[in-house]
Amino acid sequence: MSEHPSAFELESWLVDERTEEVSAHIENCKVCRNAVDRLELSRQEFLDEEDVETFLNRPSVSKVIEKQISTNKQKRKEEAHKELSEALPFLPEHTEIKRTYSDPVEETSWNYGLILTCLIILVGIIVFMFA
Amino acid sequence: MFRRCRLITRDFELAEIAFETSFIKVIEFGSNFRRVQSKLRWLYDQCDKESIRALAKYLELSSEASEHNNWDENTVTVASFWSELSSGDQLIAIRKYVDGFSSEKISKLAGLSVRSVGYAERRLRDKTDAILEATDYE
Repeated sequence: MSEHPSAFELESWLVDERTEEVSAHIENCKVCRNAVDRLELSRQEFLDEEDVETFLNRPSVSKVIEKQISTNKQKRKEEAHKELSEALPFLPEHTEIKRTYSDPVEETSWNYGLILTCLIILVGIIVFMFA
Repeated sequence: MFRRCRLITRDFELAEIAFETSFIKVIEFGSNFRRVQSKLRWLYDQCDKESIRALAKYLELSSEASEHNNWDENTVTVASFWSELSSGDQLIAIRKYVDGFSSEKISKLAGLSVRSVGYAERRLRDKTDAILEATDYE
């Protein structure tokens, strides 16, 4: 049997960073299979001690997450501004980015628009007749 | 990651600090993490750096503090060990005793000759012996 994989190689295998060589070795080696099982067990025990949500809600961690989210938002906004100013260089520096689309128009508002247009035309005809 | 931090620091609380800081590094690294080729290697590198940094801080605080403070002697010894190593020797120590790599593999990874790695290993052993002797652990 070939030399045992290193601790790092076994851990890599456990987190799906696998090589055929290590996979083949683990399949045929009881010692390494047991080592991988022990690693998996300790990983499970660690996860049972504190779930991910609790960990993410630790003050120090959640503070960084919040900061990162706001930084990303700011970064995206800055990138969008940069793209806009590159595309339209004549715009003032602090041009607000507005939505490039409008909400789908509801059928009822289209009807109101049609009635209003008819009324304007009718008023126009009447004014024309009496003028 | 936590297991690795514990392995380096040999101290539960310092491992907690190192683990949490390493995780924060991941968050700060953000989407760039997706582009990292070996994610485990990258994560472990963060753990290694943060564990050694936590130990260095512990050593610094323990040396500054008055005698009344209750500093763990084992942790101070471990911290002294790491602080006295050069960054190259730290890396070799981690590859050898934490990752479990052979000298040949370390030499390939570090771009050093097998002989240089052998010398480094001997230095590490000497350092460990000196520390053990000084602290009467033998």
